[in-house]
Amino acid sequence: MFKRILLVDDSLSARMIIRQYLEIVGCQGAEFKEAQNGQKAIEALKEASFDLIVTDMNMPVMDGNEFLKRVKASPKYNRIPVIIISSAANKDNEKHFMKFGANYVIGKPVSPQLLHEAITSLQD
Amino acid sequence: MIEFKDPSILKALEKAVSDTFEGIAFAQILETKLIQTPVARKEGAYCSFIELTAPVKLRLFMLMSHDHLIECFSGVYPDMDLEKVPQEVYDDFVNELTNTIAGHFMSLVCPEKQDMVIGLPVHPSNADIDAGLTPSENTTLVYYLIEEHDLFVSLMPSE
Repeated sequence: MFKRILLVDDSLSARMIIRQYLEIVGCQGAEFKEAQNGQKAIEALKEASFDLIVTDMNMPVMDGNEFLKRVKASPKYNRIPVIIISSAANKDNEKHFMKFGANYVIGKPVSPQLLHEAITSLQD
Repeated sequence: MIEFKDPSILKALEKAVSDTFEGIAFAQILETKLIQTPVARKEGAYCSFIELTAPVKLRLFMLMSHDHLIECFSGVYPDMDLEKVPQEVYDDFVNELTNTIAGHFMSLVCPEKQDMVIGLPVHPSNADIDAGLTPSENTTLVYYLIEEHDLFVSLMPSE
């Protein structure tokens, strides 16, 4: 079970929704840290350890693309599984994100079922 | 260049709206109508717009009623005391809905193998709202009846 989850999205309501869904699909009891953009997420990673990252793509300051690249380029963080949640997800974007090391790509609005599949698969 | 009144574009927009509200609120579109005359600003309504910049340049604007937004929000958070929710959260929620519609629409209309660039949602000024609610040769305004609520979405060229 994931114990510490880093949730990255500039939208407060999106973070609330995704957090609620994560708790429903098997992450109840996890500690959540929320970050409004990739830069804040990098700072959070430096301060604490996480076993799952869930991130939006379209964010100010540092978008999800740049954040993902930095995470996967880091020997310290690159083993943390990453779920991308994006409003503009299509097959080509999905391939792009997977190529840079994302484990799953889920389009918005988030399907709890797809999130459940992702979480279950990553926990196995 | 996207033709905003092209049936395939309107179909993609409807699918984006439908998928978003079905996903958020299990709500269905009951009616869709192209609007030909300006719509007056609605008191207390929630609006947002987002600029789509690549591979097409356009603005997507959305307006929903206060009651509709509250209903959607309470569907997602049934146990939340709505009176204690800060206004910024509701403003953010409508931005997130607009972002979801815009991204989904973009993924439907854009050719594959092209990078999609979507701006951040913006709370519109009164002038932006009026522009969003005024159909013209360049602005397509669509009305959706979602369950019992009126929703307006428009597409126009980016400034």
